[in-house]
Amino acid sequence: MEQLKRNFIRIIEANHGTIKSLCRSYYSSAEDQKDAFQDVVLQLWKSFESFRGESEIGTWIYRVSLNTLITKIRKEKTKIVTESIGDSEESISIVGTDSEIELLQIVIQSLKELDKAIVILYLEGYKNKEISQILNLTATNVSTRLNRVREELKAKFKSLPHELKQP
Amino acid sequence: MNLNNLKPAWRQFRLVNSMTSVDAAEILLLIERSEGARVSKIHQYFVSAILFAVITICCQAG
Repeated sequence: MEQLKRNFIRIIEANHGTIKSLCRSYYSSAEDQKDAFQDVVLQLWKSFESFRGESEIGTWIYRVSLNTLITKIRKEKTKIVTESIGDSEESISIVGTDSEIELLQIVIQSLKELDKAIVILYLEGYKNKEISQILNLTATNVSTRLNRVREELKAKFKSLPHELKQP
Repeated sequence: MNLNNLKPAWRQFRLVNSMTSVDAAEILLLIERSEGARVSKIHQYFVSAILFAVITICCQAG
């Protein structure tokens, strides 16, 4: 058991950047992010014993973390970052567009919880089929949602500088 | 907007978030506390089951 705990802690230490990035994508306040981090770590621990290495550690982390966050968000609807895309455009003009990370956060926070998970996994480099397996969706559903998100973002952020538009 | 253009930003975002260290003792405390809660629930379940059995037997005897 002690060995299992040591292995688990080593995995969390190696992947905490990913987990924190996911928590920051779903929650805006530091306190909520900390709570979400703890919930995700607990859920990872609960599923760690049944993890048989059938998928990559990274994929397992994404699967458990995203599903935990989506479930948590749905349970506490009032705490969702509900910033609309319209508001986001206003934010862009306030903070400036020179920071790619700021823009990334604005784009991610403008998405609904499931679309957000799909986009994050896409940015991480997963293919549609892999995304569908991680989130228990059909590949067609993932593809449709990604296309819709692309169209929405294209329309809403068309006024951004050239480097953010289609090459 | 091309989503692919946000891929480097996502990598950078992950990198920034991995720079702060994570406290191993805190993680250990977290998982041990969850185990403690699980044991406590099982204990509570057994106590309730025994109480239920005792009450059922007493009521039948009366």
